[in-house]
Parts: sequence; structure tokens; C-alpha cells
Amino acid sequence: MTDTSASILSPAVARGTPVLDVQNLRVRFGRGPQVVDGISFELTAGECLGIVGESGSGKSVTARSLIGLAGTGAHVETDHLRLGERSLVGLRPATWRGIRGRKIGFILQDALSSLDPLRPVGREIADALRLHTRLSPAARGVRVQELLTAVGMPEPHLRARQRSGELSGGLRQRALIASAIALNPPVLIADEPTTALDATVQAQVLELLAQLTASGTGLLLISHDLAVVKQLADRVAVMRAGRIVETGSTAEILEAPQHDYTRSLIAAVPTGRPRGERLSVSSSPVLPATTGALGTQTRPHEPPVAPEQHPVLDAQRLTKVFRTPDRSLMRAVDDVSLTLHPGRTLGLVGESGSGKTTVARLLLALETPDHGTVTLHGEPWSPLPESARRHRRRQMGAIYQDPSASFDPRLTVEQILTDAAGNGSGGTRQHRTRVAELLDSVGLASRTRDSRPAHLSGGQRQRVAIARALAPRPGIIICDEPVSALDVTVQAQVLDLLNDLQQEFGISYLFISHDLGVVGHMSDSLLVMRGGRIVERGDTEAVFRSPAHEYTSRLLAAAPRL
Amino acid sequence: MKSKLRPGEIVAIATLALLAVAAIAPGLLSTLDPLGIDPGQAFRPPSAGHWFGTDESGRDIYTRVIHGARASLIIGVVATVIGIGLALLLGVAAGIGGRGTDFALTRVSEVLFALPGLLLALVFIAIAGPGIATSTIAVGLATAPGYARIIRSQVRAIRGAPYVEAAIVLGRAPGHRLTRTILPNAIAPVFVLATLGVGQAIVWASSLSYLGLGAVPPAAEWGAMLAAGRTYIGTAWWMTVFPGIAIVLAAGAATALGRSLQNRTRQVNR
Repeated sequence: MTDTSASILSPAVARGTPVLDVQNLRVRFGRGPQVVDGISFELTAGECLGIVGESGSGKSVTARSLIGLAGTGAHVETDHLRLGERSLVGLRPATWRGIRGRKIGFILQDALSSLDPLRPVGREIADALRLHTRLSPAARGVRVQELLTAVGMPEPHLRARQRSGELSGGLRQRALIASAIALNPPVLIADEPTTALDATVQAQVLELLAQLTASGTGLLLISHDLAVVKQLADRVAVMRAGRIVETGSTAEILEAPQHDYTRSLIAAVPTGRPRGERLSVSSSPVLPATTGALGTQTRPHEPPVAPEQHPVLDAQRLTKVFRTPDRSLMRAVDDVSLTLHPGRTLGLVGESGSGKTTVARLLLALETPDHGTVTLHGEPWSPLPESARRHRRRQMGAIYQDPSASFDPRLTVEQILTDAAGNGSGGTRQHRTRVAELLDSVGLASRTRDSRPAHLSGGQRQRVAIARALAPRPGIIICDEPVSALDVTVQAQVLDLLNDLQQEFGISYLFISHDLGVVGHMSDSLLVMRGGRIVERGDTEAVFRSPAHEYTSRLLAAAPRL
Repeated sequence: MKSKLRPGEIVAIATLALLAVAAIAPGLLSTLDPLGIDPGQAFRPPSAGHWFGTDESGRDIYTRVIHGARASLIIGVVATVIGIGLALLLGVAAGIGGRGTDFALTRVSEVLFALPGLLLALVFIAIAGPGIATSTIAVGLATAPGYARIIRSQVRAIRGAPYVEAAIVLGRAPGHRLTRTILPNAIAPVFVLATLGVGQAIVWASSLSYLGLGAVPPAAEWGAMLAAGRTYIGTAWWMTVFPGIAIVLAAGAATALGRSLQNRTRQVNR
């Protein structure tokens, strides 16, 4: 950081002074139960406090209550809520407006929806200055440039005039951070600031937040992922069902967790965990497994089929070119070859826009390659007309990133599974047994059969998606970002489930993810994709031990680990 | 749709139920003959004997309004069914067809859109000749382009939805995908619009009869009764007011019901 940016970023509070003090915060909506049930914490200048917990634990409501935006119908009570010297109890909306932005900055997960899509980001950042300072328009422009430089935005002059939709995810998040720190607030609240970002971008944003705390800002970092919180936090509070179940220094929490829930959060982080080790603490519904230390279960991973057998799926030199809206050509997939062996998992890792999903669609024959061929079980697949392919489609299943959009909204779980299982053959009773079997193998209670997927939780919904993929008894399942929409703890359960199903049915997976940690845990061998090309391939352990390509090393370095 | 009925909805449903009774069994509501002439009783104002008065030939207006419900409701419903049937053919063809088909069908429906609906109906009657059957078909034809456009965009949107792709991955043939996945999802909003459309079709059918292009005068039909009463509007207001109220009630009730259905499905979808 340069001297100028350091002075821009440092708020006028000495390190170690308490900046935020919350005692016995309670929030409930209407007559409902307490969503936040008496939590207390303190934040000093230059300190980062991490709040960790899964969706629904009340961490976001906590954050929003601190800036007076808990939502309509929320009853917020507290014994004591102080921002620096000032009490925030019972403020009127007008007073809150003076505090938000000036005294507390707020960074949300989804920068795309937090920024006005129709206004240049520079104007958006200048807004905070216009409302809270007496700077002249020209001075505001200078300050916006300083802020954008300070958050590491390349070409700030150019970017300030672009709209949020024209910026990439990482730059957008930087713009949002710039607007949050525009007025040097002594306290910054970041609610899942990197969850939607690729690993290398996440690393950059975390680095930026670290610089802010180093210059004296008190940071409240909220995340479901302990590995992310660990990068920044001095202290960690573990939250569950509206209460803080455990709190302590980051090292204490990670090395000597006292609470079972904290242990399950630590166990759920897949990065650097060998293949076959269980991530979720709950016992598997499919297979009995031996229980290891700390409640995690281990089972040696043995591929059920010898790898020298014929490949189930083989793609040679696939190329797919798309025409972009401005009429130029883009090679989404460029000379990609891959081979999937029976009962094995092939991992495909790459950041957004690298062409991973296009590869999946080419393999599923939802797109036709411009060059190259796909062979399924030794017979041609991609060159065939759809009518010749149709009867073999049931050999290959798919699990998508967004399960809710992949279900017909009219159908119940039972109807979805019946439809996927049968070609109309078999009686009603046979169908009912098959549905029961499928629900059982993905660990869903049989009462979910009458629900619609829209009414299920994210984890349950992804289980239904897995059951649907299993229904035609395929030998291959293409998993395209199957866990990236899930919390770490739920992700752990789904990953364990996929591994169990592979052991039981000998299914081959192509496992696609932007998360190197997840892919590393799941795969026997690994492909690293960038800009439509495979830049590195090999045995997963070997790639992790000694990456050959510079990009793989960067991905490895960026992956948050415990 | 579990929420309670609102008062307005109850009124709309009660009105439509009353009209349905009048259409199915008019004898329950009036024992007189809608076509029975009694010149001695001509132009009587509303009284205990003749609630809505009598017309120029001494026919009981109340009885004629009751009997007119059948013609109006049948025309309204049949015309809407014709309109939606046609729209389904056009809309689905444009929705699933290639670029050329879609372009051609969309341009055709845009040309039809350029003409006011009633004018389109008049053109058809000018070719096919007046009468109840032709005016019903005419109203159906005139409403089809509007429905077709909605069905087309629904089908287009759903065709690319991830759940349709999931059906391809499961090895479903195009016909199966169309009938089991795309159509049921595309049609739901059209049903709601159809309820709204019935009200409009009733008004249009009455308009055609008023112009002498639908039901022919002695027949008990609201539009035709309006036309007959127009000559005497200065002396016998009841001849036009009561059939007019009947049209407003029928169309209003159908529209109100359609609107509340629309709101309810929207809430369910959220």
C-alpha cells in the first residue's frame, strides 16, 4: 500500500479502543421464536471478529440488527448496544441514516444486487460522500479515485464510469467495499463477502479486508465457512440457532474446539482432506462405516473396478466456439480431451468462465462440438442424431448447480422420481417401492415424497436432484457445481453421500467445481481448466503435491484451508 | 389457494351461479314464455306483475333477460374456447418452431393485432354472414391473436428452462417433453386470462347482436334486446336498462373472478 492510500483507509480511532459493544441482543419476527437469542460480543479497533454458522443460525439477522435494518416486523431488544461512545438503542430511522455508512460500513454477499445496475459505480460510491460530507463535486471525484485505487481497482478512471454489470465479480465486490469505506467508518460489517467469488478473487478480497483491519478498522466478518474466517479473524464466535455456542481466539477454536458443533464445522472443510475420509459427523444412511477419532469416520477408498478396464466416457479434442453478442468468436472449449474410467471420479476445476459447464454440456450431448468426438461405452455418442442417442441417455445422469430451477415446478418429489425412474413400465406399486428406495439411498425421510422441491431446504433439494440422477440407474453422473450453493456443513453431507453412492453402485463421476478443495477431496484424477483449455492434468495427489502449471499453484495457494 | 374468499369474490361467484341457473333452467326463475306476445300489455313500466316491464309486443322483459343468459353465456364460453384453441395451435407452433416459423406466425399475429378485435370479428361476419354461430366464431377468432402471443412467449421461456433440459438428459422424446413438461407449465397463466376473456367475449357478442349481426330480433338475447329497445329509449327506458344491467353484471362478474384468480396464482407462485 502506498502512503496516500494508508491515510485514506485509516479511521480516526486508536487501535485497541472498543468500537462496538453488544450485550444480550435478541431478535424475533412477529410472534415467532427468537431468531437471535441473547448474544453478546465486543469489537475493538483494528480487530477482526468472525461469526461462523450455517444458514438459518441467525448470523445475518445479527449483522442487520446492528445497522438498524433487521427487517419489517422484527423486534430487536438489547441490554446494551454501543458504537464507540454512542448508544444505538431505540434510534429513529433518521438517526440510523446518519450512522450507516458514516459510522458502520456494510458489505453484502451479492455485490450485483447491492449496486444499482443503471448507475456508474463511481457515482454510487460518490453518493455516500454527497449525503454525509460537504465535499464539492470535484473533490468527491478525486476521493472516489483514491478509494478505487485503495481497494486495488485496476484503471480506476475507467472503472468509475462503468456500471456494475460491466464489472467482473471481483471488481464489483471491490467497488462495493470502496463505497462501504468511503467515509472511513470505524466499524465494517462483511456478510459472506466472498461466498460468490472464485478462489483467486476471494484471496484478493480477503487480502484487501486484511489491509483495512491493519489500518485500524474493526471488522465483523460473517461466514458459513470456517476456512474463510480463519484467514482474517483474530477471534471467532460460533453461532447456532440464534446463540453463540463457543467463542475464543481463532487458534483456540481451531485447535481445541469445545463444542460438538464447532468440531463438525471444522470437519466439514474438504480442502487437503484425503479421498475417502468422511466430512460430515452424522452417520451415513447408506453404509455402515467405522467411527474414527473426533466423530469423523474414515474408510479406505478403494475404486470398485480396476482402472485398466475400458473407459466409460471418452472425449477427444473437443472444441466449441460461440458467437458473442458483439459478433466476435469465443472459443469456450478449446481442444479438451478427457477419459472417465469405471467407478472413478474425474475432477474438473476452473474459475467462472473457464468453460467447465460447456464441457459438461458437450458430454451430455446438449451441445454439439464443432470439432472432436465423445464416445460413450466405446460407441459413438456426440456424432449421432438425437433420435439415435435417446435410448442410451439413461446411461448418463446429471446433477446441476441450481437444483430448484432443474425441477418442473408443478411436480412433487414423488412425481419427479417416478418420472425419472420409469419409462411408463411397471405398476404403481413398483413405482412406489422404487421411489422409497431412491429416497432411502439419498437419506431423505419418506414424508418428503409429497413435498415440492421449492419447499425443501437447499441440502434436501440437492438430495432430491441426486435421487433423480440415480433413478435411471446410470453408470455415469456428470456433477456440475453440485455443492457450490450449499453451506459447508451441508456440502460435507452431500459430498459424503456422493462418495457412498459411488461405493455402493460403482458410478463414475465427472465432478466439476470452482473449488479446488472440494474437487481435490472428491477426485481420483484432476483436470485444471483455464480459458477453455486444460492447463494441467494428472493424479489428484500428484497435482496437489507438485503442481506443474503456474495457474494450478495459484489456485492451490488461494484455496482457504484450516 | 387456501386463503378465505373475499366479499367481492363471493358476490362475483354468486352472480355467475345465478346466471348459470338462468342459462340451464330458466323455468325455475320465470314461468312465462319469453316469446309470448300480448299486444294489450305493450310498453308497461316495471310493476308487480312485470318486474322489468314489457316491450313493444307485450313480452315480459324479466323473462327475456333470464332466457337471454343462455345465449350470452354459451357465446362467451364457446368463443373463448375457440380463441384459446386457435391460439394454442399458433402459439405452440411459433414457440417450438424454428426461426422461420416463429417469424412468419409472429408477423401474421401482429397484422391481426393491428386491427381492433371487434373490426376483425365484423370482417369475418361480412364474409360468413350473420347469425349466432358465426358471431361466436368471429369473437373467438378476434381474441385468438392475444392469447397466441402469450402462449408463444410462455413456450419460448419454458423451452429453455433447466428442467426441460433435465428431461432431455433423461432421454425424453420431443413430443413427451411438449405434452408433459412444456404445455402444462405454459398453459396455467392462460387459463386465468381465459376467465377474464369470457367477460369480454360476452360484451363483444352482445355488441354484434346489437348491430344486428348476431342473434336476430325476436330471439331473447341481451344485445338484440338493447337494439330493439333503442327506438323507444325516450318512452320505455326499461327496455334497454335491464338487458344492459345483465350484460354489465355478467361481464363484470367474470372479469372480477379472473382478476382474483390472477392474484391468487401469483401469490402461490411466489
